[in-house]
Amino acid sequence: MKEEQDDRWIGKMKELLEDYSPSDAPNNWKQVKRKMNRNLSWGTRLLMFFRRPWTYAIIFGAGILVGYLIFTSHDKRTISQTYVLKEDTAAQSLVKPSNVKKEAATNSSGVKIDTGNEKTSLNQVIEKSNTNLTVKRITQLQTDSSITNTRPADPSFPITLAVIPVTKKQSYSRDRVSVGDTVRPLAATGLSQPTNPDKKQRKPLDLSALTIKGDPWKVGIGYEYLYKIKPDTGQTVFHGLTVRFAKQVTPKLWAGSGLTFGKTQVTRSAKFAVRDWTKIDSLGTIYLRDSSVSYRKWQNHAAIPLNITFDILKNRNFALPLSAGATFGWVYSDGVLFTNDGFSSGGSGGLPDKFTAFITADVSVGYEVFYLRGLSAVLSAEFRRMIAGQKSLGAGQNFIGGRIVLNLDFDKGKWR
Amino acid sequence: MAPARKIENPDQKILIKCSRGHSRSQEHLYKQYYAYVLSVTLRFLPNREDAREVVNDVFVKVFTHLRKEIPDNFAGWLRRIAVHTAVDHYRTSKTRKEMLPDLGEPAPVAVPEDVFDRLNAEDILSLLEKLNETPRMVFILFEIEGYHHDEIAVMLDIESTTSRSHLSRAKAFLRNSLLTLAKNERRAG
Repeated sequence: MKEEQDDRWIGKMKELLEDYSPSDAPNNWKQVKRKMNRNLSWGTRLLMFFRRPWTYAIIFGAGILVGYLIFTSHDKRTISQTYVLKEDTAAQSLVKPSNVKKEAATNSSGVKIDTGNEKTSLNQVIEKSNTNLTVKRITQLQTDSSITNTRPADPSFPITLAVIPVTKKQSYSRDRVSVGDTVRPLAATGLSQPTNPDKKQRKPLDLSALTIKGDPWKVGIGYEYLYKIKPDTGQTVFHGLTVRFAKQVTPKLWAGSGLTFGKTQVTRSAKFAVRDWTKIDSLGTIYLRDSSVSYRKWQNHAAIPLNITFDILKNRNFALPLSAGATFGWVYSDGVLFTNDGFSSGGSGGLPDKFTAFITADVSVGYEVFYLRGLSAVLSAEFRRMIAGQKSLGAGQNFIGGRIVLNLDFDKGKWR
Repeated sequence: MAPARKIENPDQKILIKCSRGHSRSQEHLYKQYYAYVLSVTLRFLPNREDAREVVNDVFVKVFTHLRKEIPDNFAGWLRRIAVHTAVDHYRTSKTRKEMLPDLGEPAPVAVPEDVFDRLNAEDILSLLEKLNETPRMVFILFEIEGYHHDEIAVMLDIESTTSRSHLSRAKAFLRNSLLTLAKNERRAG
């Protein structure tokens, strides 16, 4: 009897609870997402970060800011760069004419320095600035033609270090010709040489630049948009961030490597496309792939490319280089393969946990949109074809692509 | 086990997209089932903030498990996850709110059914809130969710006999509370 009574009121209670629908708004979705992301591995989270479009906006914004800082700091230097300041105390010991002469003799760039102008300018500067805070006494203007340039006296530096003779190569001075030879560093990207900021001095084709050895290192940070036409696998679009490094081996030969973070989407799949396009790419080092069109989930791939580029024709803002790109990579994939039959899990994406390599041939045409004191934006188009390697793995490597790269000169450990 | 409230299962395509990590589909699913999951967790956790927190945990578990498999009966599966997550929350919370004394066995007077005509779900949840935590958990698990005492004993890490005892006390408390409510209403009426 008692149990029956209980069942009755419990039944009523249960009915009320079952029909209850709280009016709270589901506004905690972001919190759920954050919690889900916390469960992901560090690497996956990093790759997820690079999926977001605003990431690129931040990176480009930072690039522009860095560029601005570079410009302003450069302008401050230019007045004093022109001179050779020499102090008659400890500085004497720092200047060794014989050594300087020796170095200057090796400087075959042919760049001449107008020392007469320097003298006038220096006097003006001294008069204007009335600066005896840091330099006790400028006793002599170094007119020795063997010395091409010196670092200026730094106001915050001890007086005795006022004079540091620097040869042309070590100087701050911005030699457009020298830099021009260094612009083809981003090996397979089809980048061109920088443009001379002075439009009057620009030459459409200046092959003499080929003979001048440029800066040894270049770094490129860019946004890539690659529309890949792959006859055997269909069409895909890759877009993402690229960071590239290259070193000049000879005036025409560059070797480099880099990182690429981005996202590939299949825009049109050809026959047998599903398995093929998720292989490593000679351009990419790290790809995060979203194959929502195919049956795959995210796949994380890692590879280290080695690119060697040989420039066959170039001038200041136009390049037609021939690139031979080689990628040797350890390919890893931890994605989950979805098939039409259902689910299966485990490493997929073609070749997990294996070393693979292939060689590609590239032809690219690049045009430099602007160049300002070490910072440039280069637009390029590229055709790439795989010429050697495991075809079953590298199928789909042929493509036509375009990209824009924000490029920075990197020289002797200093941003210019 | 008690029959689950009739909640429609989502479109299979949405579940497949969720299993692939498609963010918008996940958000859609979250919004669609938020109220349902909250209604389940509120029975166990009368504190609304705690209940909302558990709802979020439920959906994290749902989306994680969806990557491995897609259940045939999503609504039932979701409810089970909600119950287990609420129980997990109970087990991990170190401070038990065992503040109210048990009222003991009430007089064998039947609870008038008309008292429910003037009550709504929020009132029931308020009543449950006044129960001590463990008896409340046992009551909900046994009477509303349909678990057996053996299962409840494992879930709450208590003895089976203790579970029975808690149930008995919870019923007594609720019965007395309902009778008090009925009396008060009569007086007021």
